[in-house]
Amino acid sequence: MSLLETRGLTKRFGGLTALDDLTLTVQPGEVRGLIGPNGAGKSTFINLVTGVVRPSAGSVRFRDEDVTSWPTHALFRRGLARTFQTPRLAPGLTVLESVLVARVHLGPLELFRSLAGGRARRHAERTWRHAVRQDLEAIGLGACAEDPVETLPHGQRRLLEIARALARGPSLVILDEPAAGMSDVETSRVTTLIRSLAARGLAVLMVEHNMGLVMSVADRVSVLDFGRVIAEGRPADVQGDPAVHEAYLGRVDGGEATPHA
Amino acid sequence: MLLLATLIPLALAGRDYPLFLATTAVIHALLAVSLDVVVGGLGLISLGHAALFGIGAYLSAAAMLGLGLPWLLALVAAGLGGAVAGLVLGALSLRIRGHYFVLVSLGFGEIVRLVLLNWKSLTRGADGVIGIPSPSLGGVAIGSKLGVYFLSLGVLVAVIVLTRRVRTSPLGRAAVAVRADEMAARASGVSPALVKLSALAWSGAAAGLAGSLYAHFYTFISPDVFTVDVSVTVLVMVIVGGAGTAGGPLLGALLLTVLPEWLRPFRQYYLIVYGAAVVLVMVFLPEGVVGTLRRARLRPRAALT
Repeated sequence: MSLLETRGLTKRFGGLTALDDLTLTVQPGEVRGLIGPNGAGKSTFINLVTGVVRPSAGSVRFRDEDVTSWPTHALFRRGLARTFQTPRLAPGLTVLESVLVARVHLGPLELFRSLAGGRARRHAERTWRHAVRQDLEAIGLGACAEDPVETLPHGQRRLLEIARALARGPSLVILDEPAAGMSDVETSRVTTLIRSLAARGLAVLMVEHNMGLVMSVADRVSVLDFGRVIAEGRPADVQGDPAVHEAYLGRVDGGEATPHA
Repeated sequence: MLLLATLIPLALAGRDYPLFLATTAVIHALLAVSLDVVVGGLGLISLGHAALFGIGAYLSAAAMLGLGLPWLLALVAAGLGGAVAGLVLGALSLRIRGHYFVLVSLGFGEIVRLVLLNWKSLTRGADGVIGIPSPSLGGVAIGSKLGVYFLSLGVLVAVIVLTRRVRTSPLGRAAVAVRADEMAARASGVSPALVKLSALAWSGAAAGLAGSLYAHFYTFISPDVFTVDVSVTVLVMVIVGGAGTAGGPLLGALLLTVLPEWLRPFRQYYLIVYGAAVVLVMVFLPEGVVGTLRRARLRPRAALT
């Protein structure tokens, strides 16, 4: 049974069809690469699946439940977490606190619990902090746990976003260009990280322009162009697909984009 | 600070006017702390705080005069009423973004004021409510000005302690995330609606308590007391003192309560000087007095690292 399944997912912005009748499934524990030229609909797809925008048509199923148009925070609680193309962190929080926000569930009567305070609450807080600190160590952010997020360099911001996405043990993580703007060393660290997530049984759906990264970690790759899936399969097969070459390079007379495979 | 707040009024015990000012300052401080939950906590500017204040005052007066409830229950009713009003304001503004909250809160304040003015059977309209009893605890009326002062101070301290507790709780942490970036907060599993409603409910509760203290201290209330002028003044207190800082709203409330007294010698030019003073603070200390002091203290340390 698939973990994530979109059916006929369509998004029109005015006259422009950004995503056209897209059907895509992700299996539990699978690492899926999502590639395609700029404007192919990758970001729109992520935004539809994570409830940032509503689809014009079609549905999204996640863990055997129709989650079409669920808000992002409800999806997160259900086990579908995401990162952003440009890391979005809250200035004013430390690295540790940013992950704590994601870790701690807030109930509808949270205000009363906060007002009441009490020993059990303080104890719970210590337990959360301890657990998050360990997670930060594991991901390589242990040394800057107490630093304000605004002092982090770009590469560590991405790692922090991933740590935040993992905070409540999701079953699917959607990574939006996890290696963009990262150095080779940082990229190889992300590669290792994604492999370790997969080894833990997490499914990863990754949009990425770095072909080296996609081809080395993805079990399967889907190629989008003009809002449709034009190819899908194992990385090696997709790489040899003429339709994919055409999408990236154009016909014989040529486009400008060159993927670094 | 608490020590000063205790000692100075004791020294003023026999003199009514300074004590009256001190109590007013405490009620203003409660309002400022309450509004800062929204301004400093959520980063939203509200111009409807007088409505929450007024609802607390009218409810408290009605509870004692109409229902014959003891003062403590009237106080609780004012707090609950303020919280419900805060929730209504919050619910109205969930679908709107950023600065439009100012307009919604402004409209909310005007609607409440007009209801107070025109629902004559309930509020006695423009005549106001007179003869509101003094607070009483356990059947003993606290008639003295000094007693009411300390009662107000007690409520203020309790609200400050509880507000700090919420601010350092997971809810307070989530509020920082929501204020910075709602989308990122959602991606952390935080519902911005829950955070905003919680903050407005707590802010409303504190403003309601302030309303109750006001009603029983002044013993007279009318819709004229709860106009947008009050909302603006409290907002200025928060911003001059420093939104989102520990002592800022308190300092702002103290300054803006006492300043008009100091400026009395200026007579008709008083408002000009008052306005100029506020503008100068805003221009030169945009983070408020306390916010600027805190920054000045942090800067040398930042330079070292």
